Amino acid sequence: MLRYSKESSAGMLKEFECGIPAMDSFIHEALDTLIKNDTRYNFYVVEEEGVGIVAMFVTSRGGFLDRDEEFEELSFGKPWSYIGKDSQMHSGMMYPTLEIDYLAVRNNLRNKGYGSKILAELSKMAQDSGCYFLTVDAYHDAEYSAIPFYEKRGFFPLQELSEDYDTLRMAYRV
Amino acid sequence: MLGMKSNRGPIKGTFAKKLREQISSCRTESLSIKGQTQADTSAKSS
Repeated sequence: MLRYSKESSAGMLKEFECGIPAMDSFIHEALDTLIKNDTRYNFYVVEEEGVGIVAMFVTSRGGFLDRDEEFEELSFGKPWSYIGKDSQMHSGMMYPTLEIDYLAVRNNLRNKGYGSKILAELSKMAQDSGCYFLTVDAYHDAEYSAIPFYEKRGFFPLQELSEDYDTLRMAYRV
Repeated sequence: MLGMKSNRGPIKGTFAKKLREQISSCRTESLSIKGQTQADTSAKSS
């Protein structure tokens, strides 16, 4: 049984490593400052009895603004009016989203089903807070790609995969 | 993600179409549930 606790400090992750250098650097060097200084982010630690910390994730709120021919992505708290091609002010339907800003499973616990369980919990969290989608910038480089993990669990891309970026924007209907 | 090169431009073309399909699928679902409830109510009252 996994236990999810919302935390205000990343101090308990000193020994935590997921094995992806960029993510581990972030967790150890920048995560604590981020969650203490930016209240848009919610930081959770996932624990299992007898195992300890198995994963961490960070979420925030956003939304898809329907602009007829395309969708604009918004961060929570911003107004959703926009200037159209006719230079007039418009407003559109906003579909709230729960963004997975960071998700990391402990290095020696990967490929044991924790990621799927955590995504199921995140879907529930999204539904409970009135969100239509989970969204993520899936990390992707020459050595590691999170895209197959998300694809396998029903996420679909929101853009073309590009060599110019380290991530692919993806979404999942909860 | 912080420290990553990410691209968050507008969602266009086939990607916007897919997103719209996903949004409208829930509308269809809620309408059909509502329709079913009304049918049930009619059946009970007749």
